[in-house]
Amino acid sequence: MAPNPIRPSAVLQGPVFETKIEQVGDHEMLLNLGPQHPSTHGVLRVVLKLDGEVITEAVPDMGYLHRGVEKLAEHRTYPMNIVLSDRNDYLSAMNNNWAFCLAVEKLLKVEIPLRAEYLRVIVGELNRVASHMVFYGTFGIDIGAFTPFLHAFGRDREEILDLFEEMCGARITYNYIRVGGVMLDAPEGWTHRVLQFVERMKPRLVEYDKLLTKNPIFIDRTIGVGLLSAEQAVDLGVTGPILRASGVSLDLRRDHPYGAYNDFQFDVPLGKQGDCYDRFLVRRLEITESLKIVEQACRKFPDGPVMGKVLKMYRPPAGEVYAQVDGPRGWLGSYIVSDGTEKPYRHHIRPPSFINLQALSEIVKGWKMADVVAILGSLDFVLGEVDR
Amino acid sequence: MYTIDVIEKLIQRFPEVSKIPVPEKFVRDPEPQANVPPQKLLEVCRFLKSDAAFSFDFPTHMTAVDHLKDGLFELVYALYSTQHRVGLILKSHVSRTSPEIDSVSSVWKGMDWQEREVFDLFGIRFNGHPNLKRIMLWEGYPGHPLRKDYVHVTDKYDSGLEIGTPGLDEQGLPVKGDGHGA
Repeated sequence: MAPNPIRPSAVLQGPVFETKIEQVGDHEMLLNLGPQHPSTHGVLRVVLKLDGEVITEAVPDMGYLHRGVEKLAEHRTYPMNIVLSDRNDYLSAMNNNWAFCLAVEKLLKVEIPLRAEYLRVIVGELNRVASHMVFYGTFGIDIGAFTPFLHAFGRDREEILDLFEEMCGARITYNYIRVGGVMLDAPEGWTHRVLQFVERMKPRLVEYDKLLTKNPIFIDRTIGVGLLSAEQAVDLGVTGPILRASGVSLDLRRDHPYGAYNDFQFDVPLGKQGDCYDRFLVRRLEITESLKIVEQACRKFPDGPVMGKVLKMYRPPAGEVYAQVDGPRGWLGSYIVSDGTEKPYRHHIRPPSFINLQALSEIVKGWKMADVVAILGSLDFVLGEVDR
Repeated sequence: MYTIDVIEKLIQRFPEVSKIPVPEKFVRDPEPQANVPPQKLLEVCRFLKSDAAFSFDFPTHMTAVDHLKDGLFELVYALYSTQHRVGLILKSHVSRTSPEIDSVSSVWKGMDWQEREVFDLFGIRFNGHPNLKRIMLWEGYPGHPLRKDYVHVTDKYDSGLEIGTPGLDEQGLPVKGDGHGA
């Protein structure tokens, strides 16, 4: 193997332990959390400055999963980029596909058939439910409750993945939403099986609430912990359930509807004070709302084609475009600059997790070491998207 | 969606700002775009956030585009007003030879890491940024990958070859497959 010119120096000159925190007082200590720590939900490293057990400063360090997706995008055609988008936020790949396709469709001026719009809403919302189930389970583990994980992750999320598998053959990285529509029509009886799943979920959500939402130990560990005010959240550009938990009523699906969201009735759950419990509760209630949307979409599922008129090889006209969806983690956007060729000149992804993670060092100050794990979990980030 | 013509109002206050016409081809909700000279950017941003008629309190995202042919970096700032529910895109151009611009992270905290990312991947300096360090790549990484003239330095993950060409095995013979393994 050829000698490696970069890595050895990287190890030596790489992120030094005291990169940012230079001043450590007599009664203070530095603690390194991660990158290989189960509660960081991926390869995130946080350098914590502690006074006794109280956090006085926290500096997140990321980039361990940086794959240069934006650079890779410049060397791939538009259809190939949909495959890349799956890998950003691998817990809600459908919404990633969707954001990218929305942007390209805006450039190409394609009309999307109604059936495809409905299918997008169904899979997007099911994927949101699946993503929130991962959050529900892992947040429980962070706090010390293992059983909810087995219910949400082990049983219920699997059923959603089975539905996706039946639909497009993949369970995690779907590449299902395509420019102009969706890859394949739903198999026969699929919407019926989705409705059956929604029915099965209704009593299970009551179970979810018994296990965590109303669990006194869980409430003690999360209520009032890690407060993020509405002003702070807006200033930081935080989006999604974290923003809504701070009491800011802003949901793209309702306020600037894309796809077929105008056709459905749903509520936007809001938190009161922006603590860990509110962030948990908003996501838990969003599962209910998403299932409501899925149910409505399946009940008035229209007939027709699932793909608009798009050439196999398309070259969007030169120009630039930005489109975004409200994914499970917030505003997920694609900014594309086209130079009229079959490859994007520049593709920037607005990663909700990356921008939300900025809130961490703001809200973690003054809390105890054990609360850090709860706060980290409540932000529900995906490192694949943070680092890209 | 856009009830107030933000750009016209902004030009009244800052004559240096110019409107970028949004092409006809966009189907849905084209956001108004304005070109801001880099020297004025910080002032314009402060005004946009604090003035009640605008109150662009929410930083949606910021990024850069490398226009190698024109010798320019284009900085793109997407803003949003949670009060008026409108969006706005600001653009500023800096030269590729000495890419520098004022940091707006003092206006919106949410721009902090995004400016670091642009600094890391484009090498554009943000004056007045509190902690301008690489964020994705490590200190000492050669170059700024998202620049169009960036030359990829091969490392062990390429098998010493460019992406797309077959890798070589220990005897120096081409490996069957996509060349990404080895």
